[in-house]
Amino acid sequence: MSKLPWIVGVVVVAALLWLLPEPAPVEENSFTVGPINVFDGEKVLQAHYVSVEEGVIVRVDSQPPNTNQRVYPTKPGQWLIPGLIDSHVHAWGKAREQALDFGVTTVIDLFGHPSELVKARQQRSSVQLQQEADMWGAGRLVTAPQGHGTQFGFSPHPLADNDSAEAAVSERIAEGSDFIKIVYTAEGAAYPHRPSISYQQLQRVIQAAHAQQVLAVVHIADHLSAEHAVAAGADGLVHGFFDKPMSEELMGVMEDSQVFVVPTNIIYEHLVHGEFNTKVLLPACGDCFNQGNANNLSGGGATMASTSFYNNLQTNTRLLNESEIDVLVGSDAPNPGTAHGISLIAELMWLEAQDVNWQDAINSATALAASRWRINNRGRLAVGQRADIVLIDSSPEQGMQVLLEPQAVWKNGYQVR
Amino acid sequence: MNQWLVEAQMDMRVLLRSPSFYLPAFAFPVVFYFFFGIMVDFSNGHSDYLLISYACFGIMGPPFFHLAVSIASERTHGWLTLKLLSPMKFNSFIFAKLVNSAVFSAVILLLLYIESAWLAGVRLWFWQWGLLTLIFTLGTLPFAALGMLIGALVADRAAAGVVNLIYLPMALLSGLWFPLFLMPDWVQWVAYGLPSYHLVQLGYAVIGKADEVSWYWHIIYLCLFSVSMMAVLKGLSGRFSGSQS
Repeated sequence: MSKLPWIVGVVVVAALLWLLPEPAPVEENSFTVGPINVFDGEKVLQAHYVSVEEGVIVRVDSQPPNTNQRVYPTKPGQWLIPGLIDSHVHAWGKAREQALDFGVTTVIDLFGHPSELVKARQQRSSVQLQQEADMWGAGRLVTAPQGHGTQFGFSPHPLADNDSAEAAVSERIAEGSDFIKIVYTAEGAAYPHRPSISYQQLQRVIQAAHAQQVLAVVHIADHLSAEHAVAAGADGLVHGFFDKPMSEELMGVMEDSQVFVVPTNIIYEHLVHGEFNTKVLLPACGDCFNQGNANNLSGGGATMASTSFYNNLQTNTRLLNESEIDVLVGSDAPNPGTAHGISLIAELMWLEAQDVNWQDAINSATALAASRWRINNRGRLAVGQRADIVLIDSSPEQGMQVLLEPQAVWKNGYQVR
Repeated sequence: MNQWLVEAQMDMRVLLRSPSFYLPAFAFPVVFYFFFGIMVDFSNGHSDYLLISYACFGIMGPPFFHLAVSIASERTHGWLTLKLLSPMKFNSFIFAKLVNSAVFSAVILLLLYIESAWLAGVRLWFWQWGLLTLIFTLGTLPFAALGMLIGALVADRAAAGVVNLIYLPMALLSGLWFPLFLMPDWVQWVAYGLPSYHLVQLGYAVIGKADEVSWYWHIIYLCLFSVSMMAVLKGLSGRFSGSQS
């Protein structure tokens, strides 16, 4: 008997494997981009060249570098801004890939399966090529039995009694949660909700989170619950509200205790008015977004249509802008009226429509977001920061819609869009 | 060595004359992947992830069925006793079945690779295609050992049924058909005890999507599982020679 058939078999397998398609080759993650206008996440710089070495920004300067580094060509009038941070998403499937389409290079997941957390942690510590935004996440949220969050198919952490607060926090941290998200609705709240944990439980969970040095953020949807959450010591509110204008007392307490807020205006606008996506976002977008996927943005809005709610939403955006409260930009995608990536730009366009200064708005989606979520090397164009960068054709001052069509997006220094 | 190759080639000839063995073995993973990985797209765009899930599912079939059914059959009908009376070494009999199971598994892998590259746009580096092939070809061993155990314990007519009773739930509970996080938490604890879970994690590691456990723990588990199966089989060696029924 011959060994030949076996040898031929091995050669055929090897040849077939060799013929299988490989990923497209990528350029190195070291380059210089410029000359170009630069908004570093906090202010406009007098620098015009940004240099990247192996995925990290190594030089921001007004002069080109002397080295023979690959130069990314630019056109007059173009701008660089840091990769955007969406401070409220629920990321699964293609979410983080879709986020990159609109320059969102980091997402804050505020209720997702914990199996994603460890992978996300490994991924964000690497500067390898990836076709997904980085993720920091809360994992399972803390809520009441039958409370908000229990309807989504996988289990949150329902708190049955006061004594389980510490365990809820410890278990979340053991699962890889970067912060603790709690769902709370005050008794007598104007906006009806599912069952909620008590104020005492809310306090206990927040104290337990702080004892373990992690942020405790609270899902609220009305003014009274916001007051309670702030009084209980929350670090942030991950929704705004529209049942009434923000009171001076609440704003004062939030300023004093440095509580941030992620207002998620677009999802609320979709709920109480339902016109921003169809009349502002999608017309500005043109073909920037797959229209076949646009149903979530255009359909089913105004289920709680109310002029006073809508006016309150606009008023609260203005009041927050005039206050010293840190406002972060988050989309709550992929809930009704939102989609990953594009809805963060919609939030920025909403802020623009309410006369929020463009630098403040971009800051809320970059450097400020990184700072408040305690993310060290994202959100700014500065030496030592991860090279997550967005190239746009004009200044956002001329219209936030320029962000709908980024000319280049770099993740870890690799051009991914 | 010649005797080992002869036995392997004879065994291969028998298999090639049994389309009822190899056609379902090829078709199941290819069709399942087409429906759940491409048409319905349970993977939400992560076709490479589901390719590995179904590759693991596919390669489990040949060693399970070939070892279990043919050993049960040859043992029940006395062919194994006859063979053991001949100068043939028992190890060459087992070796032939192991090698041919691996060969059929390699064919399943290639079919899935071509399907995934052609229809789902999966793109991997040559080293990833090669490493996956190596992992899943060697990964047939624990299932072959389990198949041998089934073959040693059950009658020939029951073997295929018993294999299905183990094979299909094992695939489901290891997250090969649906991601584990879509199933109740207790399923994840069951999965940790199954060789298919550990094998598929090695596959996921090749594309950077494994769980948080280091890859070498999965290898250690698979080795320990195979060795334990072999130890049990050694204790049952009388059943192969016909001294026990």
